Amino acid sequence: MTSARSRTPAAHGRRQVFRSALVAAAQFLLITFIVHIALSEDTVDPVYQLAGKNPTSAEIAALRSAFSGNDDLLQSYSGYVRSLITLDLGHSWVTGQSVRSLLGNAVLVSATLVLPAVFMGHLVSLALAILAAARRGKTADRILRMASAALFSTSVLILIMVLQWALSSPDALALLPARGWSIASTSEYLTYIMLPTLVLVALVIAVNLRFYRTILVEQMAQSYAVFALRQGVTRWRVVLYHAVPNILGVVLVRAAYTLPPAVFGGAFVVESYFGIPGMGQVSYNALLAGDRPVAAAILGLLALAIVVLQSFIGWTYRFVRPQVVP
Amino acid sequence: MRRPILLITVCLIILTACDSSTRDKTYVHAMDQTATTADPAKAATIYDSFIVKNVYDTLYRYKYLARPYELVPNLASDFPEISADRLVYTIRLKPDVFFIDDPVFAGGSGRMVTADDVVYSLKRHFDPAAQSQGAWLWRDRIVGLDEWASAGADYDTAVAGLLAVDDHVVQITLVRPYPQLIYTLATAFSAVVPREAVERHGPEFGRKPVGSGPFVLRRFDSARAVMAANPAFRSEPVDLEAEGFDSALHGDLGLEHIEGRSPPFVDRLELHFIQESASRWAAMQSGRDVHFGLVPNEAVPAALASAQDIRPRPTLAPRLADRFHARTSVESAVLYQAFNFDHPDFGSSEDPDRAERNRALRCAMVKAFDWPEHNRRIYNGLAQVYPGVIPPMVPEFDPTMSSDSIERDLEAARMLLKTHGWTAENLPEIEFGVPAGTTQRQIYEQFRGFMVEMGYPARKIILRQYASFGALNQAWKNSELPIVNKGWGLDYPDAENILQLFYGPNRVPGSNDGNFDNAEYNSLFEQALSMLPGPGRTAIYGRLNQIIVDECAAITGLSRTRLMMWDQRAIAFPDRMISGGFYLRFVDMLPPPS
Repeated sequence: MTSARSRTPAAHGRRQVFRSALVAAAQFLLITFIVHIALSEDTVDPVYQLAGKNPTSAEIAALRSAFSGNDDLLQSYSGYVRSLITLDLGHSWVTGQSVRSLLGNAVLVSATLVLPAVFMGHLVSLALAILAAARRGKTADRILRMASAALFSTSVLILIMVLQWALSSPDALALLPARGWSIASTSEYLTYIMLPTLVLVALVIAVNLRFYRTILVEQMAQSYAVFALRQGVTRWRVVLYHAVPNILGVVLVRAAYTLPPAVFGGAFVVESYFGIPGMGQVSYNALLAGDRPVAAAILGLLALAIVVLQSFIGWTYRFVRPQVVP
Repeated sequence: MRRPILLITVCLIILTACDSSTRDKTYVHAMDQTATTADPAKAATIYDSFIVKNVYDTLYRYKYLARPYELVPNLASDFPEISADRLVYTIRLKPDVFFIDDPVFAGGSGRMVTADDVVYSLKRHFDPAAQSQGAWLWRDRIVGLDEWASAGADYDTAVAGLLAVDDHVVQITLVRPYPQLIYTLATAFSAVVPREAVERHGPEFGRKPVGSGPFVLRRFDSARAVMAANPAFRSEPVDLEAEGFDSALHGDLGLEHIEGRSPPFVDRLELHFIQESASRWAAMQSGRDVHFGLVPNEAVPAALASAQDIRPRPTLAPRLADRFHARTSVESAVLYQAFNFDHPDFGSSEDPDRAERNRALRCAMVKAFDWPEHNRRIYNGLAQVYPGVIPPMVPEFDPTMSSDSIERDLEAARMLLKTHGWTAENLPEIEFGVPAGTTQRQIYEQFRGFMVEMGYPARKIILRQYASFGALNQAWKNSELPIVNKGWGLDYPDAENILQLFYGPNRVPGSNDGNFDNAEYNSLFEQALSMLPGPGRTAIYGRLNQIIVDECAAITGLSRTRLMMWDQRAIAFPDRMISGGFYLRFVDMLPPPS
């Protein structure tokens, strides 16, 4: 500690960066190693998916040898890490597609699906949480509590079916297509994105509204807030100008951490009901069919994204709340 | 803060409502599973096959409207000339058929499709690098082809039985007569691919097809396949009469509209893969998202004016009747539960007493199975149940066959168990393997219920759910399960395609997952193999079917009736069987109502 103090602040910063990069690299290697061990021939096996309707033993053996990995663990693992870093991810065993282009397309789809929804969802959650905290115990707060409990306990399938029926059935509003996807033009994108976005925003609100309200209310019990209220500052003003800035860090972290799994893992149920060719579909199909190159790439890139994001959050935290650098 | 969002939402809704569709003629076909490849060598499913048959050409295809299916020449200019010994097939190709323009060809413009391409495409199934799923159709059939594979699969080495005589004549020489050969030349597996594309694209060939079919693949992902009309597709004006038009069955569909015109008729063909039946049904009813789909089982009663209406032309419920056409069709597939003859308690045995005892157990289970109830609970009573494995969709179906094996008789079942010394204590455990899913679980619960009524202890019937088809298939191929709960979609309309599932030499890992092996069956099957269709062969097929029933080799059989529903703007007579898929070129769309 004393040695760290004796250095200049800049040197201290550099050391911090170096240390967090080291930690990130170690995390990445550990996660990918676990993934590599978990995705073995015993767990994810394409042979009998691809064997055809009337195979011979020789055909099975040929498939088996085509899909069996390198026996040397260290070699195969280093090959895996190299493929993740160079993004030279090989070809899907099932569709033959280049994994990089397959995931490139699907990540783009998932990102265009999930990012606006996550952004809007957290924004609306925060806005409603502010309202609830400012009007704590009043009608607005109570209505929001009931609404969020109702949303939280509604199955996503029911939410989808009700919205699908209400907005696209010819017997109801018939405003939007029931399903489908296109990013060919802005107007098509907007047409198709509306329904799934509504569902996703509702899900984000269900999970976050009460949480944000709770931490805001907790802020309101802190001595600074109590003091301000006693001084005659309005409750609205205390919430907006003091409590909200204090929880922004938490909001940022929470919103940021929902992104990698959503972009790389996809929103499977929403994707499959709305026919959106995103990462959820791709991961599901890959795991089911034993498509190891695709599954390994998805899980590895997810690990990479989380580690990178962690470092990124560490950095942004410096600006949002310089006093609590993690 | 929320006002802009509200504003944007309102704008978007207005924008959406006014979406003036000035797009090309598009037909959207909903499928219930996902296609994975457009490579003919791997096109083993209906879903893959629907893409392959539309971007590639096969030598033969099925007539648009005729049922049972009938072949017509497609890339071939005529039916094959067959030698007197029925071993040599000479097939002439249409001249002036071209592959689509593609950078794989020198100069970028599509070259002529030749006999060499046909030869190359069939050889490819025997090249280990192609990982073919269809080689079994020609295995041990074509002179020199299997040897060519074991000698290293060098495409520049000729195969004696598979020759390009000149640019437009292919000659196939068989090891022994194989009357089903011509059917195999209408499967997606047999589609004709250019060598340049296979070699250029390597593993990605399955996503980048280069064919000569009526459509060109534009996009293909986990949600859909999008095809555009091939502008250079050869001119082949439609002759409805020749395609099997029957005014009683097709009269209301507006098909006259395509008479004399040359396919394809739509500019854009989309296959949407919608696994969730609720989502598919919502899209089908919306009338704007998809134009064709299978009505999901659970929605059938609500879709029909009368729930049990399974006439070929059923009446739809009033709210649907003025917007949609509907047809029912019995699928060309068989669902059955085969016993595993490798299993010590269900299968064959060296010891004649043991064999007889096991047979009694199988037969008791067959008698305990309640087909009408199974049909009612799982398939809304719409499926067809018949004795044996030969389904109604093939010409060899025998409606007069005794229905004893599908009539429940609990007393007789109990008697069989009792007289052969089976008791609650010594009855074997049954692992009932199914893919994960609610319906599959219901099938298990029901099966257990039937067996319990016969006196089988409930705890001895154990559910084994498999996460994927691959995992279940592995359990079958390794002979791990006592009962194989299987469905087989026909590759062609000849009962041989079903009867081979009980042919001894096809035991696992082949298609005979129950490892049934009966000397009389095997020799009769071999005898029938080289026979031409006709009463003699049908009689042998009948005998084979009877052996399956007499030996209680399987609890069988059932074919689902599928209710197809499509938008009246689509001029079509749809089809969703593996033998089908050719119909998409004949689909036309009327302009949307203004």
